[in-house]
Amino acid sequence: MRIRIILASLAVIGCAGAVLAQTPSPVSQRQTLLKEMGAAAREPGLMLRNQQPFELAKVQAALRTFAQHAKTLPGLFPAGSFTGETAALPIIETQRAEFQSIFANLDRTATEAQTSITNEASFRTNFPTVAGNCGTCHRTYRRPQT
Amino acid sequence: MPTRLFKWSFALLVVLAFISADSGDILYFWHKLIGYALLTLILWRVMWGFAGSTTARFSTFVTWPWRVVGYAVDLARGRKPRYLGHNPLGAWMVVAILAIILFQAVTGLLLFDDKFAEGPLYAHAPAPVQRFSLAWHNRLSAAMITLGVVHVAANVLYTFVRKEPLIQAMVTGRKPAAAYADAVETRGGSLGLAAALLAISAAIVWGGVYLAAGMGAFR
Repeated sequence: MRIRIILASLAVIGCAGAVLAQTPSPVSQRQTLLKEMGAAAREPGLMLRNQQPFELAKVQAALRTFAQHAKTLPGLFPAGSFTGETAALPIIETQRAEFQSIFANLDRTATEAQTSITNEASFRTNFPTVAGNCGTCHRTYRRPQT
Repeated sequence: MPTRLFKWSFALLVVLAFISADSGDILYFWHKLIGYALLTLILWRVMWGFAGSTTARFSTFVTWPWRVVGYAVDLARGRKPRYLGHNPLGAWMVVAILAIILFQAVTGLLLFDDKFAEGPLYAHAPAPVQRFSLAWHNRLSAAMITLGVVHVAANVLYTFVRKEPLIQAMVTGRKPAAAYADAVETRGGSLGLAAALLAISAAIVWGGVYLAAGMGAFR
């Protein structure tokens, strides 16, 4: 009887360990989302620089990605997650409110732009307002890339 | 005169480079153009440093580091050696500023900021060079501010406290006759040569980035 209890406990612990190993950490989750935002920004950036023809559908898709990820990302920077394999700086912890306000701004501007960007002219006027949030955050809260 | 035109244009462009970097332009359009202009001027200055006026030539003022120490010791002891051209400390400031802005210009050519701004040579560079360029272009901008502050402070100090008219000399090209440690007579540089060297520098830089990235270099 006791052996069966021990074996069952080990099985439960083994399964739990396997599940925990599968669940991505906040660090890897946020890295995935941020890389997706960077990838989404690529073609609109080429359009702004006249290196690719303007395509409204691609711009709208990028804006949706920005707005969507801006809602999820603030929760992926818990205390203690600023050491090791991450470019996020500890100052996020001490300036939490300002840090989160940038995501709020990105969400708001990207959502508004989905309505206000209807053609190339409005794209050139309004897209930089959305995209400027990327640099605003990186300037203060991201370690210089090496 | 070419040296003085260079110096003041260079200083203005460095200030504009800082302003354009912080202006919120996600494409860094003006910052890139200013970078190309600074690179052009640096190339010109290096060539001019071998073929220009006496006081502009590197052979006249660039000295071994121990001479800089000797000069600093002289200053500390209250001796006032005077130089017609750049004094040893000033000489190394010239070298330091040229080196750091050259480094900034080159890393700028090679970086992509992971968002919207890409240098014209980025696509041709291997990944470690791309990452190095981005990291150090951002880091060294702070060092340039420090150098700039020291440079301005030193020249203000020399001109108004030590009564050595350095700022006036850099504007007018003249210093009062005195017992200078470095030269008695100087020759001005050839204006025609200066113009030709500038054309060559411009062709190398602006032609080069166009060859590397087409019109994308200018957007």
